[in-house]
Amino acid sequence: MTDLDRPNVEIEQDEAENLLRMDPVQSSFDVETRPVEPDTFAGESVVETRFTGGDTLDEPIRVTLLNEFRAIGKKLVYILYPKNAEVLRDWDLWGPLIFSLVISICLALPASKSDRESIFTVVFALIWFGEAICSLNIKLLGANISIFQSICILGYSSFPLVISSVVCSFLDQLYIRIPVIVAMYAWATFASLGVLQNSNLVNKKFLAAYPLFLFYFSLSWIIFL
Amino acid sequence: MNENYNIEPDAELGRTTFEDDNLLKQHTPISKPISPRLHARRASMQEPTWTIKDSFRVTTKDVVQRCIHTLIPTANFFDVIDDRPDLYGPFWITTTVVQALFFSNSITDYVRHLTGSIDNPYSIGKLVSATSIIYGYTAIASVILWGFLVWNKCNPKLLDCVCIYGYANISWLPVSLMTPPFSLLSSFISHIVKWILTSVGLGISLVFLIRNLYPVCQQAGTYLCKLSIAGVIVLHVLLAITLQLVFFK
Repeated sequence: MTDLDRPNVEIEQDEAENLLRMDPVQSSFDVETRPVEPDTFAGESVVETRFTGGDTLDEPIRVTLLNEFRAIGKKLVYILYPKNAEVLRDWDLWGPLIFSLVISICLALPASKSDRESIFTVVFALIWFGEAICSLNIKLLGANISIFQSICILGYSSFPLVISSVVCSFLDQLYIRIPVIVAMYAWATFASLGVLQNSNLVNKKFLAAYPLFLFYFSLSWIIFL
Repeated sequence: MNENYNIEPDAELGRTTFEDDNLLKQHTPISKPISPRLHARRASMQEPTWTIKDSFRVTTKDVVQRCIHTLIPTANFFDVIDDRPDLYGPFWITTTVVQALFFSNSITDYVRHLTGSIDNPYSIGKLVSATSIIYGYTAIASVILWGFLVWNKCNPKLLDCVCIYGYANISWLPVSLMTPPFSLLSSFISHIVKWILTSVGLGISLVFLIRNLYPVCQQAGTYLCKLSIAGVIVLHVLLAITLQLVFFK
């Protein structure tokens, strides 16, 4: 069963198996019981497994969309329950786009007619520029993480804010809004700190984490209002 | 291995073998790895290229120390910077001030909306104007100062000017966070208290700016020095009045 999320390793394994079959000495080995080495390419470990082009151009759109939704779902599960850090290595920006659109729409709809456009614009721009600047900041401080990967992680970590914005656009009572927003802010910040996990920032952990606090705080504050 | 490098004048008495010296002259390896700072200095002596990454080489302790020395301007700020001006501090302090201004303004509007005195709970235009005023002032004022000093052949570094103006913004943070309760009281006394708060913030940042810019401007000559200091004061007072009228009403 081919796993279309990891086709790079799949192709490597196929070639290796073909070579083994042609080799008379090693062809006696049972191919299926050979241990699979994930995430290695010529002996080095792959940091990102972003698939670029290839076989997926021929498949029907339905299959592509289904695969994208599956990838988004996998990352969402990671955000909800961070156990397996491998998931975040193949980044995609679909999830952040959907979340930012939902947040902007939920914040713009309840407002008065004259403000709606400006609120949508400002919130959308704030989300994307904020994520880009936070990622740039982390990169400039010396972390060895790619910018798009950190944008991906920050975008997926704003999923709790999606929940809080949907809740706050329907309910007006203060005693529901405040705990929901505080809890979602804490969850989003905690999930986004995973971007700092594997980086080699020695004394600068707080310097890199503070912009994340600020970004999610400003988003949560606008959601609260 | 290290002792062979520091050869003292009367070390002949202590030397036991001479063959090691020949071996030393034949191959000159550097046994211990060069510290990254020394390597950076050597590299910068060879090729003077500067990337933005160089201006982010600060640790948490550095930034906190610089912020404290801004609020309590006892030491010369350029000594505190220690020839390593950073862009992290100015940028994120300015961003925090923008958010704090929007926060304080919108919380007063929200409470007024809850008590029914005004219609819409917040106006997002305040965030846009906060962004443009604070970012614009910091960028333009620091560039004007740098340009003025370059024109008078003082050889300042642009990053130093940006650093000074960026760190000076930190005085607006407590001012904006303490204003909302007085805005909500809306009596004559609270009006006066708000003006006093703004002027305290203005005073702290002005003292910091002038104390650190005065020695630099003195190199330009006494008349130009007074002119530049007066220009700095006027611009900063204008900023304070603008902030008070737009955000702290």
